[in-house]
Amino acid sequence: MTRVRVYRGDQLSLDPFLGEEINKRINWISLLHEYTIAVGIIEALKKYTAQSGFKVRSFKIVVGELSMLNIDAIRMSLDMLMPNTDLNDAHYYIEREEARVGCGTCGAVMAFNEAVKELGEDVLETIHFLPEMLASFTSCRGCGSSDLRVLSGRGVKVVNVIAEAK
Amino acid sequence: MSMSLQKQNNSQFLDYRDSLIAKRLDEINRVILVGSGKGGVGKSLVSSTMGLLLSRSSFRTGLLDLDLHGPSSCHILKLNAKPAEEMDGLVPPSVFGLEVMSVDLFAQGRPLPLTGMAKQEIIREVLALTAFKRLDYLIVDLPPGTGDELLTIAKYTMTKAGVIIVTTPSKLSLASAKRVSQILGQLKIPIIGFIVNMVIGMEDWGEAARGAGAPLLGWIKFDPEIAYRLEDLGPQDILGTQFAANLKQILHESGFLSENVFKW
Repeated sequence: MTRVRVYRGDQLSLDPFLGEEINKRINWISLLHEYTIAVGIIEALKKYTAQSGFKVRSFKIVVGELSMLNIDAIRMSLDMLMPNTDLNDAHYYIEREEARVGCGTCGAVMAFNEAVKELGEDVLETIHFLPEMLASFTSCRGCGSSDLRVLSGRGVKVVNVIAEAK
Repeated sequence: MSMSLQKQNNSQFLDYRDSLIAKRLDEINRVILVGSGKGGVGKSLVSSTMGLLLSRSSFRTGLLDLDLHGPSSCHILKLNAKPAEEMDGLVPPSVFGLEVMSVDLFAQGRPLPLTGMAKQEIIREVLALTAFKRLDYLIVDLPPGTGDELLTIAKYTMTKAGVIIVTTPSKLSLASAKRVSQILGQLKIPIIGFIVNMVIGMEDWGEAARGAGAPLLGWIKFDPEIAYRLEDLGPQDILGTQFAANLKQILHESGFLSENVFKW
């Protein structure tokens, strides 16, 4: 299989949800992870439909800031995949959830930009896939502890599924 | 008039990873969870070597290192290539055909402090994203005990998984192994059996191992080459050790190497 990488600035616009500084540093954003997630979202909704016997009218996708997923890419993948499924006339909304990272030692809470400050591209890519691995690469700005816990904004959730009888 | 709204699912969320995990597990024939009661019994070496032996015996095999706090498969197998991102997910690197996924491929030897919930999240994410090829066997290297790692993976693989418990002949290790066996029994997680590692003499461990509540699959002699020279051994060297020969015999006698068993 050919490895495809889509860089910011080439085919996808800058993500307005991320700050400009982070946008400059993340030039590795790839469509592939977003596509895999879109496949998973559709599979989850198809399973829900099959089990409930209801047809999905709308749903909301919450994307955690720490996953650094490109919302345009998720939307593109969903729009490509949904027409061939039972979800063909469903509406969806995508919302970014702010990341909060707490220190288990001193209780301090860091926002996304503070948590990923000074991390290189390779590390950001790892966190993009596995947000909890942040604790391996950085520490609390207040006390230096590496006991960091993702309090919010880690990954992708499908919520507010509204469905009706077929 | 259009149909009225009859159902609204506001309170819960759908975890897209569960569907991806189910799809990926459909492509795996059998999952062998390798656990232990105590650390330091050679569980990771058993897992890695088992993976190499099965792969060398033409079984399509994957190794998933879920010992999140002390992953050592990559160290044992001298593997440090990062997984490649492809359309289907993260493709794990391989050694002698054995596909290996570990958080250490990302952490590169750094410690990873995690609470229980964070462990569950990482395991779900790894299971959802890892694109193993179609496998005859997936070997899962677990940390000692019956914590989040075992419970989380067992939840997803219950229908096709069995546990091999590794112990040493020491009374303490055998007692811990027996305790793990009891907990697994209560949780209805199938146990394949015990492997007793680092055996020096037969002494009096045999009776204790046989009374531990699961079949004794076999034992592996203490191998000084493995104990003192592992740092210098590559995968090919490991396959040439007495340790690997003993383990191969156990796999053969337990039916894991049978030509027509578990193959796609």
